[in-house]
Amino acid sequence: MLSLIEKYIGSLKFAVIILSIFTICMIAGTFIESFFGADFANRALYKTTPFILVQFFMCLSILFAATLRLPPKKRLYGFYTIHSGLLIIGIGAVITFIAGVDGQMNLNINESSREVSLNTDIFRLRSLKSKAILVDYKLPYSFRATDINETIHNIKILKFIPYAKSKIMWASPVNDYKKSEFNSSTQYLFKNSFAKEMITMSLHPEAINDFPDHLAMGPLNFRYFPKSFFECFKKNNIITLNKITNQCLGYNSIRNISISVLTDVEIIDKSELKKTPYLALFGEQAIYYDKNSDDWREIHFTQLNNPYQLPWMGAEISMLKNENELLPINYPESILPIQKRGRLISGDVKAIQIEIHGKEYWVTNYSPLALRFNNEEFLMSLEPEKVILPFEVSLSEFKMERDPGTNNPASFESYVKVFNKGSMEKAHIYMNNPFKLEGYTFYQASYSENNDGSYNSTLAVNVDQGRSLKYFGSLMLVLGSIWHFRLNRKRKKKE
Amino acid sequence: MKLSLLIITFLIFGITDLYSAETYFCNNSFEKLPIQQNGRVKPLYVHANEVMKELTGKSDFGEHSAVMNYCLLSLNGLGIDTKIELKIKIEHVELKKLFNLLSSEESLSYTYLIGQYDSLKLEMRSNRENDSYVKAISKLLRKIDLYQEVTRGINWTFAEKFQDTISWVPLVSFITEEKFLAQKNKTPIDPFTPLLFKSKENYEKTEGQRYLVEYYYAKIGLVNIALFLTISSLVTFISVKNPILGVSLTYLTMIIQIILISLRVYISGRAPITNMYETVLSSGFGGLVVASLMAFIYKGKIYYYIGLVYNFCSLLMLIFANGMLSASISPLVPVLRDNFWLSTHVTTVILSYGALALSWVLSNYVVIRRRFFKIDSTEELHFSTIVYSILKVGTTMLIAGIILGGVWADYSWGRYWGWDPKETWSLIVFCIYIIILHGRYTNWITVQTFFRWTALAFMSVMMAWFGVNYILATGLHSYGFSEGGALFLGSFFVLQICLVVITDVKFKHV
Repeated sequence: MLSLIEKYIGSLKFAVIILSIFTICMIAGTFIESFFGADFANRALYKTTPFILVQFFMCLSILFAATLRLPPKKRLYGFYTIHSGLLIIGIGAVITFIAGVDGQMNLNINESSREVSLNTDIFRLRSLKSKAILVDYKLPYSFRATDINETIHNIKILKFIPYAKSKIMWASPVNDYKKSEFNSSTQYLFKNSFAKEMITMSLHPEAINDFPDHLAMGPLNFRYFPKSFFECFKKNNIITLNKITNQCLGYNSIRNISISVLTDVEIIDKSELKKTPYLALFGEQAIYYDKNSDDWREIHFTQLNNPYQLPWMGAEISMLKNENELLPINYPESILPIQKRGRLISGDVKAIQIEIHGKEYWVTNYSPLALRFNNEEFLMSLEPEKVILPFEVSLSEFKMERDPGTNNPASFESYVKVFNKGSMEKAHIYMNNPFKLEGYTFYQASYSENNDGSYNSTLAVNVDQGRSLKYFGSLMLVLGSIWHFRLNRKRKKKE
Repeated sequence: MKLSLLIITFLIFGITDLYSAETYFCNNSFEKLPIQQNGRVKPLYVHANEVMKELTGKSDFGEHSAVMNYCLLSLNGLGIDTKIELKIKIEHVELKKLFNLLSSEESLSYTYLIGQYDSLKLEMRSNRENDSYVKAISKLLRKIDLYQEVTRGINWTFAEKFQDTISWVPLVSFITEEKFLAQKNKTPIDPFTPLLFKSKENYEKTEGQRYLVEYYYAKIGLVNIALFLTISSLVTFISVKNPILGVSLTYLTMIIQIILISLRVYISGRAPITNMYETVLSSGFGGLVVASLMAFIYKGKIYYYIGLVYNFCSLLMLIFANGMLSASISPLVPVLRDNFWLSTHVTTVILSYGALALSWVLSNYVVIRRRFFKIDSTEELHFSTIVYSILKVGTTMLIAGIILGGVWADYSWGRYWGWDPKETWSLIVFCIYIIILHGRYTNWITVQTFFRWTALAFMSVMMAWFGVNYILATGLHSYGFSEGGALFLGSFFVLQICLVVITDVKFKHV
């Protein structure tokens, strides 16, 4: 029976079948990658069990094809070399897959780090008081929403969504708050000939991070204030806003403001606001400056969904929802990601749904959750799994060269300092010039520009124990091919 | 600045009677002036041709040469209305609709398009979903930007010497009032030409005349000569019984292509395989070399035929597929700036593609001959042996190329294999050919079907070579009428499949 299996798997026909399956999978994979991005293709195909099984059977086919042709025959030496080379590459790949590290490190200038981020995700629970990490739960490497239903540390992890889009939902706050206009949230619809955009703004402490009280859209500026500030804003030229006491005070001239009120205070000079289009929103009211009539105008949103004209290129605004109790939350909705020009344009949110004491919450890679339960404060986050380096890397300089007269990068280089067991080592990492230390190899992978014009360097960090095997196998494969085909030619000549 | 512009304008108008009314001081001797654009220094002749091709689709527009047109357009930046009106062909169906163009009148002037700039931007923003339309608009906007850059006199740059270094300044800043007046005292008839040639002198003093090689390279048009010689060799092989003349012409073709490639290497300072244009050029040449070597070893005119036919195809692409293959030499992205890996990895892969292309040519030849003409089984068997050997050479080179690529990727990106579409497709190509080789061995693939499979298999090479860049990289649904690459590939696939189907139908009837 065993020899029958060996015979079948080692046969040329099986080789053709398994190679065809492998090829079809790869073709599908490249199209999946083109539509949904590289990470999705890895999760959905390349790193899945079925595809790994296909490769396993390929290796088996290669192995049995060789063992079936034993004892060694001289004319098959090339053939044996090819097949052994392929198997050695396979073993190398398995070692890399199991034990290797393939991650990234982002460094700002003068920043040092030991953390290498991997492609897998974890759910992390931290105590806010002691900062100690209490739980690191590894999330499944899946390409679609996956139910988990596991309880750790009184937290039930319900679901993991690897690709999600935020959908705005209205919900009650997690913690208890007073119903107040200082915790209000409003949603508007803004339209002009360029755009149609839903604008959600909030003053609620739990929502203000995701839905801030100010927004710039091209030259247009929106600012959201508590309802009671409307009169104060309307009547005065200069306004001070106290963020602690939630008080709005009005002045006619900047000279009238006494220095004592200036702590925790924002000063708004309305004459400055005339320069660019500015819309002050107060829930159901709004104020803007109209250049044509040289006057401040008011909008009273008496009806929901009713558009009001604005004097900027045919723009109009309508109010969709005004809330003092509920607050907007970004509810993650599982979707298929979309890639365009090498970038994910949709589906970059990862989320997990958790349950604590019967209440459900969402944690995303963009918004961690701070929560008090069991008489302690915790921070829950969804982040990439990390490997901690045995040494510390710090970026001391990032050099960027551009092609003369253009903005195209010609070269980008990182100068790093590595602090290892009390000693310091300097390294210069750039394209095609990696740096190696204690089995880790650092490569210049990418860079990004910060808002202040400084650069952030991305280094790829890699540990690959299977490397030498893969190289050796590759060499055997190429040499074997040449040997095999040359031998065949000689043999044919003789015939 | 404005004042000096006015003075210069006045002065120019004061001396226009010395020039023909339309050309002012522009003349073709400016061809050799150095210019820095797109990250490198090149002769104006090359740059002007590139710009005109980009703007109008062809290098000579109207009655003037590219350099004359470029110069006249740039003069607008000095306040001279040179009355040159460039037009551009609108090809995208939806763009035509936007401008209410009938299919017969496809061209629009740039002066008109500048007026439409804002509405084009608006159109682009409000059609975000329509990828191919957005691309066509942004391409048009880029062209309008370039046109405006030229007509504002800021695209034409000149070498100014500050101490020992060269810095490049645009035309409008290079011709200052002071310089102009000084030169006018020396050469009152034509102060401009010597003034502009000062840039050449400045540049050559520090950097030498190396950049001029590109001028001669562009002027001679070696690609056309190579194409002519390839056709001549083919015709000679067919019409003259004694192969010596055909062989000599084939060698001459190769020599011309060696010169062509070497000049490109000299100009760019790197292996000639960094963009689609260069890979097509190199693979055509590589295919011819491999074929000639095989002809030398195995003896037979057929090898020359297939090598020449493939070379002919690739040269034809270089000349006519302008939209897809850009002949301009531009600086490399950082990761490619490693001559060792670039030369070894890409050359091996491209040579293997060249070799596999030979099998494609021969297979199609057999398939067509069998369907429409006659072929006896011994000849067929002979051809199958040849194709089989070519595949062995091709796949060995391909796997070597893939492995070298893996080693390079490991060296510069930190991983040997990352399922990147380009590397995955090269492995797909390898697997497909290996399937054919194994299938042939098992006799699942008979001699007859063998040619059909090898002809079809070349589609995978085209996919790995062009498809990854033109179809996969942009997203499948985004190819439109403006996407020459996807259209070309699509047509190729359809033609190849049709050919195999047509020849197959007959076979079953017989």
